[in-house]
Amino acid sequence: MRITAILSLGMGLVFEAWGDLDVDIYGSLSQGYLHSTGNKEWSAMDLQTSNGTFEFTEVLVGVSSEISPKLRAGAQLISRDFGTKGNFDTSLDWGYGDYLFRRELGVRIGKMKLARGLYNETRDVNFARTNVLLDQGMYPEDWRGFVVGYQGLEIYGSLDHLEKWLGLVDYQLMVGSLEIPEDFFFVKNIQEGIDSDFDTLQTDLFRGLHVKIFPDRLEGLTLATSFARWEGHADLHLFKGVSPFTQTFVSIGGEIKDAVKIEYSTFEVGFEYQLRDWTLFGEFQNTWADVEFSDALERAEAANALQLESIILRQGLSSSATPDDKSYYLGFGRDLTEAISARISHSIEHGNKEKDDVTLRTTFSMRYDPSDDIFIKAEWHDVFEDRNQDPGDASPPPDSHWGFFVSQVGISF
Amino acid sequence: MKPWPFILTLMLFLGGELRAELGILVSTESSFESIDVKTARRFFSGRQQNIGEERKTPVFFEGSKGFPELLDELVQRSEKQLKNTWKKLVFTGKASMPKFFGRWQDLKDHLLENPTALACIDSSDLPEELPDGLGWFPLGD
Repeated sequence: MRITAILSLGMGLVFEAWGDLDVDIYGSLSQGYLHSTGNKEWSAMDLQTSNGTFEFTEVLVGVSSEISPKLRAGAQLISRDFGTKGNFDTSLDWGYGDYLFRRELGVRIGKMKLARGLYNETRDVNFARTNVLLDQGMYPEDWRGFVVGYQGLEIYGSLDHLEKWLGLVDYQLMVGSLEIPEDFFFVKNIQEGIDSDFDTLQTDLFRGLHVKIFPDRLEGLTLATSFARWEGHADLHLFKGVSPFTQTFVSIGGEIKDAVKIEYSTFEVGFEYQLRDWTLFGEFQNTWADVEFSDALERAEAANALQLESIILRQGLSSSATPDDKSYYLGFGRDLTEAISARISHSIEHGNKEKDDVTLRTTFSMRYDPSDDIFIKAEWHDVFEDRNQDPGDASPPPDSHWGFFVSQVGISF
Repeated sequence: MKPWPFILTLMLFLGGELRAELGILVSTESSFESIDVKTARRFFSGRQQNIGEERKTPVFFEGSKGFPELLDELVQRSEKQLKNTWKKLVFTGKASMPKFFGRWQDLKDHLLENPTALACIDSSDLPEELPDGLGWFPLGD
């Protein structure tokens, strides 16, 4: 990844060297602060937010150029610190070549932003919105490193023949693979929980479709819908001898191929309506996850030698990939002056259909821009959780009502 | 007294004031052909990067008297909303940030040097005689 990042910057230098090209170099820097009344939010990230934390920093630097009227290329690097995640490692946020054959058909190759819902593509662009965090039911921050981009091929364009009825219709067809970071929380949790070597989850194939409609009859309205699906797998290496029953593992070579397989699908639909100073918005998301454990893993469990590992594995995956999640949110924002804007949203999240967990969240955001390039934001998330504990779970029930404060200062250039 | 003559006069007066004579200022070396209001709105608000089969680059003359009308009537966004929309495109790699010029001389030089650049400006902001190498095309209906 570091090599890719260096190559991307190198590409920028090459652009410059060509001389005639107009190369844009730009970036942003932001520093955040989080403080919660509980200590739940992003507990998987080891963010000690109940004491307050400044471990919320983001830096973006990018270059891009129009090599010809049909060809664009560019790359952007991101460096983040978010609790245990990122720790200022620099990685490629996106980097791709983009060729426009005609209005209806263009192709991008490389690492692209993943178009999902209204805002996933632009979630790194925190200085261009009022809120600090996107709505957490649909865009959870601890999943961000996983779903923000993909490597592969994108076919995009505008569907002119639908224009008469719908207005401007843009589509993006995405095929490739998702990059699952080493420190993505559920892989990390499992790796720390089991004493065996659990390979990072690999995505086999990702594909998605994103459609945006801008109806001519109602200027300011944007409609978006998307569907995406990916499959992944992980191998489990068993190198340790733990009991007399380990004979079972020796016979399968100390490794369980495809110990876990995951199929994950998401569907989103949403709208944003901008009318002068006002913005109304709302989105709905449904996700489906299917986690399958291999027969070899089942046999190992039956032999009673992999009990602890498999329990952690199962719990880790099922808590992260619940079978049927639904999330909705609705809200409005207003530019109060040229420098001050405010936003309120309310979301309902139905997590884990089997347990019927519900989370209600109301978010209040304010933003002040002392100048064109500097912003200051403050945000309060009021959270009410109704979670049903597993049968036999004797631990005290978690706080049902809590909240957290986020502020952020940043600059773009 | 019937109010109609007064209302009609007021409408004509206000209509004249509100309706900007917007057009595209572009290098004569460009392959540009005139565009309608709908296409111009999409292009300058960042929804459409191409005109015809090629990408073009929007340019704004924010120092002009007609710039507030351009924001109100064409892109229908405040300057801040417009810039934020473009920043989102830039930071996802889909477009380059449009240039915003405060002085006519800078705008003129940029357009002459960049045949793919298009500026949308009011006819009243044009000099009496257009410099050689630039053409102005009113927006079609």
